[in-house]
Amino acid sequence: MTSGRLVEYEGGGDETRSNPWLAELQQQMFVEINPADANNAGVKHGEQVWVEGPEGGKIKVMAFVTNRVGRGLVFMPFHFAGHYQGKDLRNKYPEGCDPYILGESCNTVFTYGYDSVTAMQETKVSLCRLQKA
Amino acid sequence: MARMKFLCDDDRCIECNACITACKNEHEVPWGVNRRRVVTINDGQSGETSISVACMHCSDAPCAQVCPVDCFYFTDDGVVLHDKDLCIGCGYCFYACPFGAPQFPQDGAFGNRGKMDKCTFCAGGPEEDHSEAEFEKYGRNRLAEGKLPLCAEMCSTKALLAGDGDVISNLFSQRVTQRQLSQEEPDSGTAQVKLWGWKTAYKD
Repeated sequence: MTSGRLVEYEGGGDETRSNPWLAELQQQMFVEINPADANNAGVKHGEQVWVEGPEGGKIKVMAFVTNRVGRGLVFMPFHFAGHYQGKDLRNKYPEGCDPYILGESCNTVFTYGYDSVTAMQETKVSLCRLQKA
Repeated sequence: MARMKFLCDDDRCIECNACITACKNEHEVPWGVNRRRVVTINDGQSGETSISVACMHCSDAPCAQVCPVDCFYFTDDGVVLHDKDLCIGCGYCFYACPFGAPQFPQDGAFGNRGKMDKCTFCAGGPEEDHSEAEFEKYGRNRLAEGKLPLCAEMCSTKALLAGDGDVISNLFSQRVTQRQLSQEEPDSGTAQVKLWGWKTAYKD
């Protein structure tokens, strides 16, 4: 499992997901899955899937079945927040401050490892299990 | 007189969606109405290609031929525009258009189609240039300011070209000749590889 950026959003995404021109272009948190892995997990493109991390955290996201990722690898963007383990937390935002688009944060399923020099957390490599939601 | 055209160089388009965002911001287009979009084929596979599509401002526009209220008209620059005061939102133009350019806002409780909205080549509409009414209905009129469409001006790789059809097609053919003349593929002998692109990057 790895994570990365989308061209439309920046950082945690709260600002860019509040911009209608950008938010319209990416309306769903998703996980890119290779067709072979998707077949093994029994998920089709566009279906909801649980991604479970080694520490027990799990997130419910849309399956994006694509050859962009190789077999045995899944990719998730890190720009989403506002859903937590399948629950929509929109009502917790102060009034008028909720972005147009909310989604699961991929960091919920990443692990405790970090770089000892910079104390930067490990968000690029981890293990996961996929389960049809 | 110049004939205004768009031309998208699919070898250069990197699917950054800047053209869409530029258009939406300039004309304040509502959510759900997309005057321009980027289409990607073979996503994630060998030969992945993206192209940015909007109204192509056809010389012989099918939308204008099927419109029952004849709301389309051509400017002196060959830009296809329409009059929203005449449009009845029937959607015929959407079926006629080979590029899917006409867009319809959902209107009312039964999801009726509103008045058609499409790319204006940043040339506004029949109202007086730079008037409030024109901006409200069609967005900014950059052509009247002597500027080209913002999507093409904003394009980071200059894949999307807009302007006089003769000028941009010359520019495009010049590009094609140059990038084909680059290097020869080492193992296949005569076959020429482009300077950049999928084959150059991934060798498959």
